[in-house]
Amino acid sequence: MVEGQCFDGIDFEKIDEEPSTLIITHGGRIQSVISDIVKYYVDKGEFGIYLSLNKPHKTVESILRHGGISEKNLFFIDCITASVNTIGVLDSESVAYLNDFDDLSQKKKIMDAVDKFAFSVPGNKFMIVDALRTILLYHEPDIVSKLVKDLIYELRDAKVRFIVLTRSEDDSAVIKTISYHFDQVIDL
Amino acid sequence: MDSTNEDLEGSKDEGQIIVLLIPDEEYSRRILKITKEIANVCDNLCYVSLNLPYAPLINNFKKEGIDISKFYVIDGITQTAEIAKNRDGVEYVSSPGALTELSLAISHLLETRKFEYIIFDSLSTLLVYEASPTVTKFVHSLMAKIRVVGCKAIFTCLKQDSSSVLLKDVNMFSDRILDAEYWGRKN
Repeated sequence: MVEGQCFDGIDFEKIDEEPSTLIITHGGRIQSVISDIVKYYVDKGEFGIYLSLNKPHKTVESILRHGGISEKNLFFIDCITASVNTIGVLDSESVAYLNDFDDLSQKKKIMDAVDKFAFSVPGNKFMIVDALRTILLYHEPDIVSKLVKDLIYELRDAKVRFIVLTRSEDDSAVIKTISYHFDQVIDL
Repeated sequence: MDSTNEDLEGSKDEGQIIVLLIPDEEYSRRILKITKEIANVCDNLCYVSLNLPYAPLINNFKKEGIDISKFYVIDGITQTAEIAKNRDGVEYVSSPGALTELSLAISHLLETRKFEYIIFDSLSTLLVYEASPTVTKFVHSLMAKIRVVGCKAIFTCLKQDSSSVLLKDVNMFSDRILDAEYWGRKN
């Protein structure tokens, strides 16, 4: 894949143009779109943060590897594993675990991970989130809207490109409200 | 390799959690057939039954020639009608709508036993008892637990619920949503 190429309907050049992008697509397509985007940036040598709200990072790693994508340039923030694991898990060099999925006070932990990552790796960086809809299952739209707004500003300061996926069905009014914070919205 | 082995092999490569859409008029027959196919190639299975009480479920399995010794059943129905007798291989939950109790029962089982497959019968029944957002959060958490323990799972759902908000959300958490008509066919 080369810069500017469209793959599976994704215009990477357009995503490159803006610091923050909301991508709206069919729920069943979210994982494949994410894999394509991650592949695009990792192939360019960029480092990325993958905020996983739908699947544990081990599952995501397996999916990426299956798609021929190396995870060595990725740092995972895993909102799933620790929240369902009673034994407890410890953060590692490549993964930060959030303990309680629906506790947005953990935004600080997300931002600490972003800060650490932003200053510890060279070159361009990105952060990708699956999926805004999942956060909306646990929180009211105005709370999610504030979280998104804060993340957009903080990531912009850290010069980390922010790409958020959400599913397209049913919640168009809510998405419209939240999409206001993004530099662009791409409907796939 | 027969068709079921292909499905099971496929689930190893393409994902471990499948939502299976089954037409209501064929539901009982299809789920028995699929259960039998899975039991033929797996030894340790957990069956979460929210539609049939343990006794008729096991009778159906026996009639179909399914080896019941391979199953541990979580029964969400029996206790809605009677006080259930304790037996080996079954745990009772008070109602299909008792999601916290159901979640605790499944979590405890996943932590203490090793299953190759979970058959969850069914998402549609959950929707009868609870509102969609509550069911979605339950399913999100349950699918996460299943992934963390490295088990595979099939969640059944009536085809008529395929356009429900629940299914649209579950589409993000599962690996595939498959029409039962295509079960056993190579994609």
